[in-house]
Amino acid sequence: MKIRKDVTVILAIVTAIVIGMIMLFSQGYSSVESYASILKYSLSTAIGRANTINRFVFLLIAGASAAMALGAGASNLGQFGQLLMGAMTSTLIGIYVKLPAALLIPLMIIGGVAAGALWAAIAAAGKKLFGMNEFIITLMLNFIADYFVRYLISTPLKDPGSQWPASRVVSESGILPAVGLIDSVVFLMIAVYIAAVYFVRKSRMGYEFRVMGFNSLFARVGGCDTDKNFFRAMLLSGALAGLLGTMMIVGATQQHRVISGLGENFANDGLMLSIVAGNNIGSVFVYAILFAILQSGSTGMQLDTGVPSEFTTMLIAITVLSVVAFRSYSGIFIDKLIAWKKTKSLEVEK
Amino acid sequence: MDKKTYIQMKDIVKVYPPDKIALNKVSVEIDAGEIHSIIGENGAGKSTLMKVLFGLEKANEGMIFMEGDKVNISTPQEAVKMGIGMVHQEFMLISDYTVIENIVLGDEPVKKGLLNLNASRVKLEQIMQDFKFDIPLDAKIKDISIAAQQKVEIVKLLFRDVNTLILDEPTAVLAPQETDELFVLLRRIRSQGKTIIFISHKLNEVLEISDRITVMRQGQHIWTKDNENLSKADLANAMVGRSVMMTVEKKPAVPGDVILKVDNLNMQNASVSHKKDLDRVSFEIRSGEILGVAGVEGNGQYELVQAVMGLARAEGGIFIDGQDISGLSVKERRKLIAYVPQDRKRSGSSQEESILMNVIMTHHYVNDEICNKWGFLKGKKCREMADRVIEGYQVSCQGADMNIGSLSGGNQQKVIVGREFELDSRILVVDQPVRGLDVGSIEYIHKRIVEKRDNGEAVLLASADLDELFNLSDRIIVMYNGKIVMEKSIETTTKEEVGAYMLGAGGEKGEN
Repeated sequence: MKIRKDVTVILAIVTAIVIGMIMLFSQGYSSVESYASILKYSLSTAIGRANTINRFVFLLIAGASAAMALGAGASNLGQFGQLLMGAMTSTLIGIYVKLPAALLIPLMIIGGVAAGALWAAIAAAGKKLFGMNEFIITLMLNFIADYFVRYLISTPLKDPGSQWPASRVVSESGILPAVGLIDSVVFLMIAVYIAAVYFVRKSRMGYEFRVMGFNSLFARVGGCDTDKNFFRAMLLSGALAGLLGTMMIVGATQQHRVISGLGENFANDGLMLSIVAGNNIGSVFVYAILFAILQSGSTGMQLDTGVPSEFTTMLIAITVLSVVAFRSYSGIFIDKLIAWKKTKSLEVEK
Repeated sequence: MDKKTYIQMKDIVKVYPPDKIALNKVSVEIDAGEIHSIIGENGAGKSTLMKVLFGLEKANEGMIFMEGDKVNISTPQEAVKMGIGMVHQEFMLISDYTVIENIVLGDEPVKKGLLNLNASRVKLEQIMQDFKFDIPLDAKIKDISIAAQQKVEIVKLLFRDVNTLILDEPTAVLAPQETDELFVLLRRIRSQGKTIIFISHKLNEVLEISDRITVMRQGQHIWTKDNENLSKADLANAMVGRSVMMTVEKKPAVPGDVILKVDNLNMQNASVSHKKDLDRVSFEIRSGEILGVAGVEGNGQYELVQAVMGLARAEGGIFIDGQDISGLSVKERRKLIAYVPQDRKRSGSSQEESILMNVIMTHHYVNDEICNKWGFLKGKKCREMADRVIEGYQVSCQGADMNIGSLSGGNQQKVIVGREFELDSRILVVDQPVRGLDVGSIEYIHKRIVEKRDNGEAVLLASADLDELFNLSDRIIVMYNGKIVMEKSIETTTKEEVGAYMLGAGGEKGEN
């Protein structure tokens, strides 16, 4: 069972890579060279590796946020909005609250996480009170958060020194230092990810989440409080998105300010990661590594081979489709094969 | 053989992916103008065989001959063209359409691009007259009884000039009196030269109606015999492959104190304002007693179970040991009530998850053994419990990590029953616990239900199967239109009496 799944995933990824090669070839690029330069820039140098790791953890938490909700059957598509509200809140704290780093950073994290959770809670409440579908509300809240933040950073909170809409930079004590080339938020985020996986896999509530993701009615009949769990899953998912937003402010390699569209890529990638991982929070890990390698090597590839860096975005999308297609079809295909063999074996008896 | 072989199915093989052999080189011959019953346990392959004949399933191997000619039937449309029609267990009718609209659907007479029902009406009325049907052509399907809907399905086939009618367990949805009526009709259809293939596992009925009987077991053809000097035991032994007890052995009940008390329970129908799904329902169940709830489907039994479990809102009192639980959540109620729901795939299990994940449901919060006080599951204890259920309830599988969806229906149900019976409950609510299961599993699950009773639990058994109710119940209530219309101890009533009350013929108890 397990091995069959792994084989399917590997086949799917190989298929995606081959499709990518065909596309490169059709445009007159050397596919081998392009892939090699992705690996070269993302893994072979110290800076490349650090860049890949930094990107990886952001993808990891984005994926965990999406999988936390989707894996419990709660369609939270509002990571972008939740992330932005988290980033905005922690930025405000970082600008206006004067405290030493040891107090300020935790406060920023708490504020960002709470804001993300609150933004998700609005959607959850909309479902509970008015029976609205959460995926519509979360999508709409993305727009509201986006334009609200755009307003804030282009008018009342605009950095006078900036030509484009951007908030001011948070104070020095609101920035976590790097450890060598690695952003120290990496460690924090990996710890959070491990805790989240442990929670989903081992806790009673995580068990209920997982069952709800597969069959909510069964969970309800079994006595799980599905309404409350839905709320909790939304909150946790929003909290993780809010954390991600905060990390985009306090991280040493980040810009320490809110700019328009901040984190939108991560939010989208997070949803893709969750889908490709079958909404299984533990499986997000592997795919986040893959995504991070492709993304962090893309600019280098463009330098070396002239292949536009957007190619990797496309390759990621192909990978997602390929894995999902293989996963859906492999069962059917293998079953048909076994059925055919069985029929033949009956023939022999005759 | 003096009769002419009409349909011959030869060496049919059907393997359901991945490797379930549903039909293993099955050969059957159907004569023209006979009522031919195909019997077998659930999963014996009788429905699959008929689906192959009707073009719904594609056989992996084998041939079909009609009047000696080899034919290829790959869709139901082709089957109908060749004169073969099938009435499924689930009716294929549109409830908001009238009878005549449903009958002509798919074969509508058209005049200048507009529907011209009158063209069909003449032909239909001729059919109705020939076969003495009494269904109102212009009534909507939703306003006529299940038995009448079944007749509509039959007329639908006759309207398409079908010569062979396949009826898949037609009596499963009927009360005894309706079954008698159906049989009269079937004999009349036969007398007009049509062939009828009757699928069933009810032995009395098969013996009553058939000219010839084919027995299937585990995808194989066992024998085909003329219906002469055959007994129920002959059929049962051939179906199961060994001699079976036809009834569950149980000691007389020793009822104790009242455990479950339902007092004046009312439930409003969600769509029709003047209709009540539950209408002043009151009863008690004592410790060590099985209360059977009978009724034609859709008369409130399902809603009653839902109300007791807290899954649907109802007005009125529900008491356990004298404590009113009507305000309690499902979660709180599940601490006292073990529940086997009727819909095993949706309510009873999560099909895409492992046996392990399915087994710990509900236990994960009532049983401190498998979950520590900080809310984390104990992996080893969970696995032990899954293994205990697999072993203790004879689930045939390759370990607790298998998806429950890949097990047979009987084994899935054993997992569910095992999970629920392992709960430390006071009350057991079982809703159609053995529907669709093989005889072996039925026997086993029935035995465990009686065990629960003997251990002093109060058992509520809702079932559409009178044999099951009479085998297990100590007392029986009959529901009709949301009301309890009869309550008797099992010794003082008969299936015929219960059947009459199920149809609403027995008057209504508690009517003002």
